[in-house]
Amino acid sequence: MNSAEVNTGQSLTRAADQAISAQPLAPNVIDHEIRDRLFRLAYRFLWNRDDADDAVQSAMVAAVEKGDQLRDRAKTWSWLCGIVVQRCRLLRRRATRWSFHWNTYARQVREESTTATGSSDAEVVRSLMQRLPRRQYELLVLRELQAMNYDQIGEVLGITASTARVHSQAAREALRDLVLKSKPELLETGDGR
Amino acid sequence: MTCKEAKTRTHRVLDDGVADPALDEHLSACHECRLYGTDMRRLRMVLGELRNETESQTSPQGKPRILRSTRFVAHRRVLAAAASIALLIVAVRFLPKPNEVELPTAPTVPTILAESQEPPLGISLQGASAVNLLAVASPVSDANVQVYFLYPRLDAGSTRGEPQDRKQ
Repeated sequence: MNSAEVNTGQSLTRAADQAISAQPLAPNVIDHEIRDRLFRLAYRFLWNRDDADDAVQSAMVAAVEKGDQLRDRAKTWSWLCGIVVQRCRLLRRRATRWSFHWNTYARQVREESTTATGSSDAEVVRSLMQRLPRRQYELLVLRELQAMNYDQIGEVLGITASTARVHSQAAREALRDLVLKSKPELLETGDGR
Repeated sequence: MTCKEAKTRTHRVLDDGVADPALDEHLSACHECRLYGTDMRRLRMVLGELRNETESQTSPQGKPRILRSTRFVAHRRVLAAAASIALLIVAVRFLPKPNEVELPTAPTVPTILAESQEPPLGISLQGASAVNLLAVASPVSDANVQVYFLYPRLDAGSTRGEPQDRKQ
């Protein structure tokens, strides 16, 4: 992670800290920048705007309600991201539990992917990512799409940085295997595979 | 350097962006690891494309929307209100007003038109030569057609023992 990203992370932490400690506490006091970043995170987990919006808003409510449980103010941003990830996890689990909802969910995802995502390679990789185990999927999202460093990922997921690194490597390898099985031409670069 | 270690170092180089001469040396000799590194770079590139696309897709939406759970409750309330209004309309439109309610009338007392011991109009009653009969005008009769019902008279003096008559 470069210095600009680190600075952005620190400023977000400060802003999130101020938002959480603001009186009176309410979801609408949380800065728009934080909300947008959390929405982006949730969207990359769920690939659905409505679900992402719901995840962020319920996470905001939970964060305001449990703000006094946060011990280390320096980790406010990671703490917020962790709540959003938990909400996304719940929504994904609910989507897979109810087949009806899952069909609706999958249809929405498909529609959004065909309308919004222009690149077919990115679309293929995204759909393949969702076949990965939960932990690997979360690590790929946080590392590759959110560009978090391993320390932050560890704080968000409640694991150590080295574990995050190892799991991230395994996730990339699993994704590579999936791509090679499903669409090997995506990785072909003309170097004589 | 083993291939397993080379793969780990490949990820470290990709993550941290630092040069690794030992890895380069291994890659120059190992085609598999070189291919692995190329695949990983390509994969990261595609993931970067995906990140950029989602960055543009998730632009701020303005004012925050209502939670879905809240939306569901609101939706349910709207439905309940609409159903109540519809029921009210149906009730006002189709149910009879209080002054239009048709009160039940008292049953009309049949008028005994004739009393005879002989069946009228050539009707023959099998097994009973002489029966007390009552001709009663039917309430459904109109001006053109008069309907009569014949009832056997069942008072104390009548002959109710038809089976005995049949025996005779």
